[in-house]
Amino acid sequence: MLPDIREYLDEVRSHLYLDSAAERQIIQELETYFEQKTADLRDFGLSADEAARVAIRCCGRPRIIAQRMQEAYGTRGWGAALLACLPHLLVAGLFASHQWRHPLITTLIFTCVGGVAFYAWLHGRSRWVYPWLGYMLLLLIVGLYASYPVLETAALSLFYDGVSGPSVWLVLGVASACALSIWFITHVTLSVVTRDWSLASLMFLPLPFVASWLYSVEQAGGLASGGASLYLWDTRMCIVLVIFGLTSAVFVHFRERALKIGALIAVGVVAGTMACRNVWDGLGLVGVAVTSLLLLFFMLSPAVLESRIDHSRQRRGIATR
Amino acid sequence: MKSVNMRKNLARYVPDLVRGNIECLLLFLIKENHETYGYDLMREIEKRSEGYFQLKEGTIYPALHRLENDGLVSGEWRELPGGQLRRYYTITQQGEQALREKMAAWEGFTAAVGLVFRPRPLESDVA
Repeated sequence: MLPDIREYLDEVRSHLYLDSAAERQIIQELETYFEQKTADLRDFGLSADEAARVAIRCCGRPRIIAQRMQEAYGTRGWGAALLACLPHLLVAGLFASHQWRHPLITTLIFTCVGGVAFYAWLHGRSRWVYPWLGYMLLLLIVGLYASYPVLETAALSLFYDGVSGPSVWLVLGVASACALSIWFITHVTLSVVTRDWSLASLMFLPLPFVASWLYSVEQAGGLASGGASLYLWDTRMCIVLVIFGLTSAVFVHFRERALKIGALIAVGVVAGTMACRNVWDGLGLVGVAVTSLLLLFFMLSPAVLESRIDHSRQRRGIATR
Repeated sequence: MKSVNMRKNLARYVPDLVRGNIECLLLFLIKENHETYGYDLMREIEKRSEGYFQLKEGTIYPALHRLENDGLVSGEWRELPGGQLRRYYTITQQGEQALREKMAAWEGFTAAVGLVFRPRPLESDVA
């Protein structure tokens, strides 16, 4: 195959965000087209290079053809969209019913979410699984945060006399769990980013908002305090999580990439900014603007990470995508 | 100025018409040929329309993939004697049903447009 055609096909592939089987099929079909088209053009008397150039021109811009192929593979039906919004609705239900402090119900819901996420991650990774994965990773991040006091006490007991630390087995267990969690979070994030950075943004959509909520809970005395002020945020959490659910459904259902990413980023930035404004009461216009910019960067950071991974692979001569 | 605007409007109008009917054209030709492939479909559409439709590859192949994902056609890779692979498409039962519906819709549409384009009868003719 001529270098120009190979370069064209590589560029088409770089703009595709489908599973590898679908991408292979598309590229193979385009290869077949180029073989036939260049053969026909050579029959007309064109040289191999000229025929390749004409065939490429006839095919159109690689980004456009990839975009149209992407749209052709958009998910059909509302089933996948419903599955995508379900984890948000389940968690919203916890806040609507004020049961998020109930250990049995919360454990049941998050075990269900984690189980579905893990199973779907191992079997196929359809687009609807990423919001579920987001909550699973969120649990791990909360677990890491909750482990901090144990590890802090253990470290202090090592460096200072007179400070009694937790048992060695507890520390080892917590440290191992933390290491495993960090590895899993990193592995999943990198896998998702290399597949499609917008899926990583979808996955992390609730993160800033839930983080703000956790901060306000800490300010109100912590999860264990049990005061009425802990429930002040419940209605807002429920509404925003339902909006996240609708956004996830839009992302999974519609084909147009610009619409999906625009909706995701807009909702993520607005919800996060509202949350921060509620947490920090005195936040003025400049504060809101800075918060919005930081959140925009957070939502777009998977795109930055993906381009860095691609650069690094190109430098090492590894085929990207 | 007026003729330049009309040409510009026509250039926008025709692609919209094509976009709305490309799947119908493809389904019809796939059914008629029993099985065919993308490049051949492109050439046949141009030939049958006497050059009116000069569809780009960026239109045909995504449309074929869309039809396949919707279950209206099914595709199969075949190895040619020279060792190249080619994807052949055949119409499914669902595709035949969809084709019938689209053709009926098109016939209804063109009949209605024809009625609108018919000159209004003179009042003396009516009397």
